[in-house]
Amino acid sequence: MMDSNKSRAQILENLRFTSINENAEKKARRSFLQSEISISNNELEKEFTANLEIVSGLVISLDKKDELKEKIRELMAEFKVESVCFWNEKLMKSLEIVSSEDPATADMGITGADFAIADTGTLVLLSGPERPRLTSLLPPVHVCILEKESILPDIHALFATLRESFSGPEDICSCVSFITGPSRTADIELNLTLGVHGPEKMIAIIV
Amino acid sequence: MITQRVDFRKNSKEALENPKLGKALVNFTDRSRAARGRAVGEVSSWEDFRREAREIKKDVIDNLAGYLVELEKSVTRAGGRVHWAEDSSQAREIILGIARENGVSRVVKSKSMATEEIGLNGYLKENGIETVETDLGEYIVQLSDDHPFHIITPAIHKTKDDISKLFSEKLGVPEYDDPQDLTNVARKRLREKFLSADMGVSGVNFAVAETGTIAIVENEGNARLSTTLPDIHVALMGIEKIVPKFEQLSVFLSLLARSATGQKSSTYVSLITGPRKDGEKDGPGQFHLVFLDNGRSDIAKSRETRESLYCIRCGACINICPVYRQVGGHSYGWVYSGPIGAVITPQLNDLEKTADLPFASSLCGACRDVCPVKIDFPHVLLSLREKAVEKARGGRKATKIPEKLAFFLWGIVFSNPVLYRIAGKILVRLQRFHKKDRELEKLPYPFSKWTAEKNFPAFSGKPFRERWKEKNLTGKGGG
Repeated sequence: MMDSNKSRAQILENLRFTSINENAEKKARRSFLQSEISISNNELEKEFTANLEIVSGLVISLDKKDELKEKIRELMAEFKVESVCFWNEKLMKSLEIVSSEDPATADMGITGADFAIADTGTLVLLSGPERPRLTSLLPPVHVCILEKESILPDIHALFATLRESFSGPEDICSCVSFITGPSRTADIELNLTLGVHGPEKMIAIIV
Repeated sequence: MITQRVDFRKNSKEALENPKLGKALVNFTDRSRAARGRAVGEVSSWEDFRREAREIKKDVIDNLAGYLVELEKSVTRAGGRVHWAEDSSQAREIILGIARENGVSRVVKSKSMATEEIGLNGYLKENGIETVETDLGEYIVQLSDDHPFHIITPAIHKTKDDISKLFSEKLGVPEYDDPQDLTNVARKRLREKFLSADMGVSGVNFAVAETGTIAIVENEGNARLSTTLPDIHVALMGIEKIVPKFEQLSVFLSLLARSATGQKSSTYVSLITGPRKDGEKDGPGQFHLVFLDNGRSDIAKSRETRESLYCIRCGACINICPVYRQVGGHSYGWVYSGPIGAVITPQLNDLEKTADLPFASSLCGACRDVCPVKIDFPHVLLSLREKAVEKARGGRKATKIPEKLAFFLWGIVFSNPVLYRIAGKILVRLQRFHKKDRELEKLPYPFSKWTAEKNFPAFSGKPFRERWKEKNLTGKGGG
């Protein structure tokens, strides 16, 4: 049986010529990475939609929140969905559908998204007690409801916003998931196939 | 760990004689290069990104001990456990130990070059623990008892027919022709494994010292499943994978997706900080992070080759390399192939057994030009060549006498215009003994090796200097 403490000491001893950088704070400057240009919500939505569609994601834009219930029912009929699992949040409860407890057997998973990134078409989901990670992962269809105002221009703006949303390093949530389209692979002769492990259909609904 | 000498010449000859492989390689490298080119072209500040990323990596390696201790503290604060492994065997033992302690019988694995490096699958299997690769490419490789051909697309050397036959034979399904059907077979098989696994093992793309967060990048969702479904998550990382600050991930994530697969973003990125928190319904109850040294701290010591540790494993250097394009991934004899393999393999293994690899490059520098962290591959390769030669000659730096003499004479001739001109004239005279259709063949020793496999272009009777002079005098050229 080896002694992990001994290994730790040995590795650090090997690296003794390195040190803790006192200028680390200064080095972490990111002047050019700030997203300074302000873009309107509509333009961001257009860009987000275009980028998610490139990677086989579907995007539905709704004018009013009341249309959501109807839209979800339409999607359920379209994909012949019998059981649905969703995040236990207000918006999902307003859909008036019965949630299956087990995402492993559900045909559709409905989640919210905390943020989205316009220039990559990415949805960003933070984990939490009522927000299981598996809802967006196990069912073959993932529907993600997104508020238009939460679309950010790029990944640098996202990280700046994430930083602000956590009060400190100890406050960070256990899992932040970036989702850009349905599960895909090109491992067989570079042929693109969808749904290899995660959902085969990925639908973002912007309200 | 490499136990037998890597015979690059022999391996590459075998690859070159396989026409099916040659076709796959050309198709694959052409398409990856084009995809990367498009994705990089969209970003106007690409060069700024590269510079920033390189600076951050330099800071990390220059101050690695401090950052490792900081990362350990952050992971512990988030409720995870950190383990330190000096080499492959310690890393294997640590992971087996965690499995044993928790009575684990089935492990699901997502793609990780570090676990390939330590030979984890074989070791767990020997110890009675079933280990299933879940990345489609890795699953194909595992089923066929093979090794990954590329760090991003491991099964690119297999044709659809190969895979169809393999699945039929090993999984008892019909021989499907459509890649989507084959994908569906794998989905079904692997989903069963995921739902019944006790432990998930993953690699790490980046680890944030400040927060203890690890980032895992993928397209399939198998890494998300491996790190969410089983109650224990073990992540193995090379100690160089650190990023100091949380928001610095934005630079590296942008660089990685575009460089690796030409995507704006990979389908999934997971930022995992510790085990699940109170009240969460899923996610692992235990989170272990294993630091793997395995020779990396020695690389960090070498001023000349330290930058090898800046690598973010995107594979862009592999896809652009004219040598890889011909000889493929297995010729490099270990987990890492292409330019990064030629650089990393000899430094993480016995240099004597891997001495061929630094020479497996034309030093054209295309790898350096596409590298997202601007690793100066030709420089590192030359430095490794020097070390390899020195080692082969029992530590003596001195070159052999004839070689010394040859370079001494070459130096004299090339630094004197008159001698240079005379030497040129002599060579033009001499070459007629071997000249055939403006090419030279079968040159005598010591040049015979150059013409053993191909002909050399012949020297022109009229050197460039003279033609240049004539053109300028008659006023036709020069523009």
